Amino acid sequence: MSDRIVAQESRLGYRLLAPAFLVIVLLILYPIMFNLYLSFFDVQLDGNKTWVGVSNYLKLLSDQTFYHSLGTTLIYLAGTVVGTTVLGLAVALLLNEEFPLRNLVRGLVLLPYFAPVISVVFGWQFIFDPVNGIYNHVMVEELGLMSERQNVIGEPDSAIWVVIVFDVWKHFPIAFLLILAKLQSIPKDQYEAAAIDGYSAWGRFIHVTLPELRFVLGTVILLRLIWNLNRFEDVYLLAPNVETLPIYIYYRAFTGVIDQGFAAAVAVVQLVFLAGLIWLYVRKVLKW
Amino acid sequence: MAEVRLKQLVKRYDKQEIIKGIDLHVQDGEFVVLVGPSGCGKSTTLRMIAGLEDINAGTIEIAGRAVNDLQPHLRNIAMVFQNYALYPHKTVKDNILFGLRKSKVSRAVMDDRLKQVATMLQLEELLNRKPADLSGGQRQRVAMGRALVRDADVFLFDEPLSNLDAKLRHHMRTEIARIHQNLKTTFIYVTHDQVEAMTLGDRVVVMWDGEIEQMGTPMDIYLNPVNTFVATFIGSPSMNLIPATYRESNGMIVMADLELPMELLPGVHTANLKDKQALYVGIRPDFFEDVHYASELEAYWKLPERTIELIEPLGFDKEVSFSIGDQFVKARLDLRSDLQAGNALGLAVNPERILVFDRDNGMRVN
Repeated sequence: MSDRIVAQESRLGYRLLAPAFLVIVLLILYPIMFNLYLSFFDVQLDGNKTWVGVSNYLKLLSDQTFYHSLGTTLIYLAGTVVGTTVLGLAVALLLNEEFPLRNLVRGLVLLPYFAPVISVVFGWQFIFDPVNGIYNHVMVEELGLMSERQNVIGEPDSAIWVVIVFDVWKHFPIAFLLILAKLQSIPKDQYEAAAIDGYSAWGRFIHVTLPELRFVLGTVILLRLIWNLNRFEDVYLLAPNVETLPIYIYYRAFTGVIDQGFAAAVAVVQLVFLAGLIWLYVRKVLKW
Repeated sequence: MAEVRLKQLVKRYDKQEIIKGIDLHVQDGEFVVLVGPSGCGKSTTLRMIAGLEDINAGTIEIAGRAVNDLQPHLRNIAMVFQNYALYPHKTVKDNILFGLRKSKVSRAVMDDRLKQVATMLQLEELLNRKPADLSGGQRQRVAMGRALVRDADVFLFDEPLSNLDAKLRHHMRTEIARIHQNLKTTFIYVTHDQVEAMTLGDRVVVMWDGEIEQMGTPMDIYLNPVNTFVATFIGSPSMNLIPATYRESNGMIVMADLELPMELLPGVHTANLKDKQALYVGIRPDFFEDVHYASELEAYWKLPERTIELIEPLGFDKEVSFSIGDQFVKARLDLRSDLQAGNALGLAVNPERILVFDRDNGMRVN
């Protein structure tokens, strides 16, 4: 290709990118920059701002509630990511076997993922309701595993586990879908070769399935980390007392003693974590 | 090393019998080739021996023990797959050693075997590469190495050369023959290529439609096919089958305008023929000889002159086509016969090489 054609091609490329780029600048880049800007101010409700330098960040570093929220977020991330990946993998392996009505079952498994959050949240809250919920009924009256009824969602310490289980239940289908798609593409003769090489079903899983799933498992884990670091509605609607970072930011920015500059500083910290994960995703997962 | 016995082996898919009760006894150290057209059940039979397909009836014995209910990984077999089935994330070395790692042989033995196999298959330079970085022929050699490095009772080959180009296929065919000569272990080899079957097998098993049509040494199958299927499947170009009728009154087999006296054919007894019986006369293209160059013409059947319709030169050989009645017939003649289409052609055939088949059921008449 001559230089002129190359130049023409790249001009066309820029023109095609321009609309998407503009939208990203307006809706994402501008708010991020504005958020960064706000994090250096003491923001008043009437819109007045006073420059305070890094004092929002210093306040944050000495704030126990921030560390508590960070801890909650880590537990939430670890629980949900491990849970969805393991459950998604298990269900994908199961539904990759041949049995009658397999396609129907595969379809049904996807339902939690497609259900609107708000409707299933009400269902889950009802399950754990201290007075009428089936959870307490089964645990206390039927099985006798607990001596008295508990407000599982009302207590932040137990509520986080409900939030994790809810997220695993709601989001494992996406892990299942991605893993199943990959499982179906693994050539059958690799399993046959491994069987003839002397490996039992477990050995074949370790030596054939897992290496083939490496890429898709990496994708699932990183995408789930990125999504759940940002997850707000599921947690807030189900158990508003579980303060992961997004919810902590919301409370500081819009409720009680409003401190938007401080909230913006927390949001910047979250952005740094997020950027790290996205960097990993682009550098590692997309390269595999 | 071990012998393999199939007894009344049956395979069904949805009530349809794919393998219809076959019996086969492969001797210890023997190289047996299963050959047949696609869908004849040869690969299914091999996969049943490997344990990759269930058995619906009958038994398979390897080294004297019935393996019907043994999982593949417990049968101590090695197999080369048609598409190689290499592990894409493992290096060539790890692919080859994967089976040995399971059988817990010592490091020293492993290194020793790896070296042996790598030398035998010229893989030394490739040991640290991944399958994706190999050519088709190299992958094929790795697949062979992975099987041969094992100390298996039986080695199974499922059309291992069918994905190679003609030249490489020829080369690897020779390699496999050489390897078997050195190892002298039991090989069972599936192919649809009759040249591979002929050149490799101590014994060839011709299968068709889930049944064994004939088994024997390559030359036996080539010279004495039991029916028209085997006769035409083995040998290239195919055996000519010329429609004919037996005329008892003068003891002649009549093919259009040609007459073949029964007294010439030592292998066919008139007692086995009926007057006006519909027959095929089978003559391989290779057994026609140009009358100018044939040496012992006395005992030969000399065809009345034919007109050449087509010549296909193949280098040393040429395929010469002519007609007997409506039947297009091919003869393979060598360089010496300098002929053109339209020329008159004088041919003779050694009567021992003329076979007679019943036209109704395709069976050989002796």
